[in-house]
Amino acid sequence: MDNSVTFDPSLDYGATFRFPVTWSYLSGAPNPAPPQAIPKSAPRPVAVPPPAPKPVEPIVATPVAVSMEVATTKPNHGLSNQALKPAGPEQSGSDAKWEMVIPKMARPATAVRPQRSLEKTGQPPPAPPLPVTATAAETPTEISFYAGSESSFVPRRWKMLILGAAVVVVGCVIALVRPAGQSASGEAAPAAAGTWSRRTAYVAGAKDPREILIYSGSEDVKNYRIEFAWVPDTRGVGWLFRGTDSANYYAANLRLIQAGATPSLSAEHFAVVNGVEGTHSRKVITLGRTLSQVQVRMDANGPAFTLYLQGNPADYWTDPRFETGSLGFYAERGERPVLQALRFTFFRKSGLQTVVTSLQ
Amino acid sequence: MTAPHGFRTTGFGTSGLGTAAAASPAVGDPLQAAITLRSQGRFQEALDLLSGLADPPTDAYVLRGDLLVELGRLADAAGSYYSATVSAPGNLYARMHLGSCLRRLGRWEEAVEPFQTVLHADPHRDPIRLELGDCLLRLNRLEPALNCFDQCWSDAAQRQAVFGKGVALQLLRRFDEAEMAYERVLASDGKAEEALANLIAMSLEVFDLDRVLRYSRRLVEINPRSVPALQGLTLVAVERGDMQTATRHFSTLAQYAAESIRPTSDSSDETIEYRLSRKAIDQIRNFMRTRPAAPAERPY
Repeated sequence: MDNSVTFDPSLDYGATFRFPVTWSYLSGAPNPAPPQAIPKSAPRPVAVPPPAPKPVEPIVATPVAVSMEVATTKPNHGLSNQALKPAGPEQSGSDAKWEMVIPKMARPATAVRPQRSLEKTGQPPPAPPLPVTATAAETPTEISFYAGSESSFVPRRWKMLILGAAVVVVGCVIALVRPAGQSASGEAAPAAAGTWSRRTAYVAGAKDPREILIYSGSEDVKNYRIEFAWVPDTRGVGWLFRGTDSANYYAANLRLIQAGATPSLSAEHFAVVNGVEGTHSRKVITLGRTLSQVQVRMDANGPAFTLYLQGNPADYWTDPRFETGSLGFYAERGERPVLQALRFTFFRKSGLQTVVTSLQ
Repeated sequence: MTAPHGFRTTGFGTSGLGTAAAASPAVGDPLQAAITLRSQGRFQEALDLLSGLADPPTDAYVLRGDLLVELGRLADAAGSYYSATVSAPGNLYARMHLGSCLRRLGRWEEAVEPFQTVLHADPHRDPIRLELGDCLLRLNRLEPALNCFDQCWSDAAQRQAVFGKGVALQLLRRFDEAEMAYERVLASDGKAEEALANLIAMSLEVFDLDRVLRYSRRLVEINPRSVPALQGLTLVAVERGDMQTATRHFSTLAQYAAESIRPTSDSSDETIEYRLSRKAIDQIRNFMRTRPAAPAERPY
């Protein structure tokens, strides 16, 4: 028994556990110090009974919930003490389609170019071997882009004007070269390839993240066709569709499971909903002969999906959970699929749009 | 754009080059000499040299701002950057650093405008977007903050952007989505203590003791002296009547972090709090008297 139990005197009147929401992680450090951590040195001089070598008889625990006061005071809309007065809570009624603003990986030509006007002096730019301090670390000096003064800004305007004019001219040339009436007739017309954006998708419980490639411009299309030629291999090819973000999408894949005179493929499809990957529906398909390339096609028509191999229906399923969403490809462990003759056909209200592109 | 309150927007004197200039590498060109001094880590001397410029160009204001940042004089640096933006509105570098200084000074509202201006000109600057998101969170503009983090596109910023989204979603009380975001952060950074601490706070807000326990255990595995983790473990034990475990964790808290659990009269509107009454403390104390806590008797 130990009778010298003394806490900090202020704790004689109770204790308050505080759970603030913090976001110092945003400031850049991979593992910043937690908002509250007990210092490893200089413990407070309070007398705490030493651990007893032999615990005494267990005491029946008495529920003390009655003596507790739970003060979930307010929904924590504002946060730290430094936060200014809130402009009012902005409750969201919308779903966070957070990944669907598909960024373009290629930087636009009109982006402001980094330009250090200090270099105008003709001398070498200041060498950066400055002493590393906390101040310097927090300052995003790696994004130093001197835009220059007004004098250097004027010629850039001319450059932008010339660039804009060049874009207009190229656009006109394309419009003239394009066969007349093609788009108006509603027939499939090859369109300029869009851009791919690469993202990392995390699946609950998965060891490694999944790299996904999203084709921009496909997010609002309900009905479309994906076609490509694939050289059968054991790594396989995986594609996704109806992707609303990197945690919600449908996916399918093909993989060679047996080579030989009559090769066998496995065709799988599954859904990832809220980051949780659902059950894989798997089908084994035997090809009649060895093929150097397999023509793959998948039609998405509302909630119905049909997979074709060599022009023959190979699988059909329905899933109504996602109505629209982007399409793209995914790769496990960084093994990007090698495809040829990749082609998307979008069935829009305004007509068909066919895009011939490659996985770049 | 108006001058941020309290900033001196010039800061250059007319007293000549002075002694620093005499020792500087290039007396004829104070700006270049200041650059050279800066490259040598002689910030104050470079600053002194710049103070001799009678009619400083924009670059001098920018350089002065950089030097002041190096010297930790953020308010003065903000004033200098602001002067640069006045003389050259297209100078995004000055504008960006003006925003950063203001943010670090806790002047979130004023920092938003320069960040937005820079992002309008170059929307691919994810580090700036993260800073803007931080300001928006602090200003309690949660939906714009969420959108801001959504627009981060680069892989390098993804982890922080997802964390920021988690915070915004948590503050919007979209807890399921927030939990998913934090789990994504933890999947890529298993030692993200702050994500777990926020998950504990979120779980406590809905009083989901199982989750509080689960996340507290994860956090205490990473950092055995984490205050949120020990608080979470203590309160779960108290709620479940396990005074032995509660005593063990509370004694650690009382020993090492008494100031963080000290009761205060001013209850913050912005923090989830759990109060242990005097009676509960007495019960813990009595339990310690009768049965001193032995470590590792329970798994948590």
